[in-house]
Amino acid sequence: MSTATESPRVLTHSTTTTTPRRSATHRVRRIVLPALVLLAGLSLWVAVTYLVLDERRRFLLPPPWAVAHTGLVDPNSRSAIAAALTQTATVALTGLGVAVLVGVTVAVLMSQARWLEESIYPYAVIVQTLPIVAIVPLVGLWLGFNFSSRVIVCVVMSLFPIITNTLFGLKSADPGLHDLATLHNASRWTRLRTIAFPNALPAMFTGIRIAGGLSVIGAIVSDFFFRQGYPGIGRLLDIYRANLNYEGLIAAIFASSSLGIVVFWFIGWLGQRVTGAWTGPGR
Amino acid sequence: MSAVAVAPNDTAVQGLRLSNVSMRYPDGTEVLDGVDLEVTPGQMVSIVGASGCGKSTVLKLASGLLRPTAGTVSVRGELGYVFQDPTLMPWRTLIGNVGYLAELNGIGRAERRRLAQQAIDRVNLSGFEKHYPRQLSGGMRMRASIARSLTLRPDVFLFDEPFGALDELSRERLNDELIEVFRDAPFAGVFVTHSIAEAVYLGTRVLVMSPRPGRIVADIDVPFAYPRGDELRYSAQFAEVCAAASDALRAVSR
Repeated sequence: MSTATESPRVLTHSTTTTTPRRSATHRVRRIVLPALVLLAGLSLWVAVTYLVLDERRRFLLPPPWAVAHTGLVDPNSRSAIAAALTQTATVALTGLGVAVLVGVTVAVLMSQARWLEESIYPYAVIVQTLPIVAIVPLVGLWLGFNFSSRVIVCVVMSLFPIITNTLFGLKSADPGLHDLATLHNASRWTRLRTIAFPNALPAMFTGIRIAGGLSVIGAIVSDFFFRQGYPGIGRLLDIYRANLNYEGLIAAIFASSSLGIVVFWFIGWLGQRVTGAWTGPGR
Repeated sequence: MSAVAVAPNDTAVQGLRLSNVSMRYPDGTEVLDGVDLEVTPGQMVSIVGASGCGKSTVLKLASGLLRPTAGTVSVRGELGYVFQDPTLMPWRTLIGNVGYLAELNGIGRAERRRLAQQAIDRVNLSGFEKHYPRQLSGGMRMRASIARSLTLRPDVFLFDEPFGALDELSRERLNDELIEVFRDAPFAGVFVTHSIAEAVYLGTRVLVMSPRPGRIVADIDVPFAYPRGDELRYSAQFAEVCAAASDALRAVSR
């Protein structure tokens, strides 16, 4: 009997004291835990460099500080990487921009005409399954090893997620809203403008964010294969590889991935700016 | 929204009229069989019935969202329709949502704002104009949905179980608010619900529907004057009317 009356008191006591502390520790954990993983990764890297590789083979994996020096301090390699990265970023963002325009237009057309969706959709899937390394040389042979060929590779890579996500968003609006539009004789255009399109925005941004990463990969891979025309980070990776400059190679790899991260983060931020006010948690 | 299908001899009838309306789906399911319904301005007709008996179909036919397989439907004047869900646009603020129907009807921005503000005040949501639907409670969203229809001053107002998802207290409060709105501008109202108490509390008449195929099996007059209050909910006369509706419902659902 005494335990029965005591236990509720203990329960309320523990919940009131731990709940605020838990959220505070959670915030710290979200910073500390990834930092520990980074530290562990760097330690493993250093261990491999100095303990696994003997001195003759140490060039295969230079230590982190050597890579950081090449990428961030040494003026020659730093400016080479920065210049190549700028070229690649220009290609990737141009390709993404074209893919957004084309993808959203195609999705809108598909949402308006079922026969169009049924005739185009299978090919949108097939384009997605094409192995990039197989198409890239072909695009180069057909269209030249220049800026626009690189952009085309990026568009082919990033079109599919934009089309599918936007189409899903356009078609998933509350049917009640469409009933309302029907009751008031709204035109097709009015429905698209006031219901389907705004409803598609969150899904559209999800698609564009995925496409952003793919476009960066498309720019790097096409550059890696084309080697000429508008040289970017892909070409530089190949040069460093050929020269056995592994510090440069690893620094350039980090630079490439940082471009992808920045693009991904920026589109996420933009989507949040546009739709954040109404897509947050409900009441 | 004007007349849906006006039969020549119906032109003088104000409000809503369904004459011998039957509805059969393409797969052969008979949903409604020979439904007659006349609702004039100043009447609030509640329809009760078991789930799936075709109550909502009556409203879809009355609004023109569905066409009957037989019979005629006529609506005189502006039509308002409040669905089971608030069906608000999550990307619009309250005032943007409430002004939507006025926008669809080509009313200019300034006038739209004025109408929306008036309707928002009418349903006691003043101060929440800039809130998004996700920031509103279930009851507030439903008020917003009613306000959206109010902007066009409907002559015929259809309600499809709008308060079914709300808790008891919110539902009772919204019942009283709806009666206020009705007293303010007496429309021809049809209120579909599966709660007998709600049907009796709101209606000037209660219709009881049988399931499969849907037919109107009882038409019960509700003799209480508006406004109605809590005392009425617990009175013997109220219970009597509820019992009559309940008996009719039980007789057809076995």
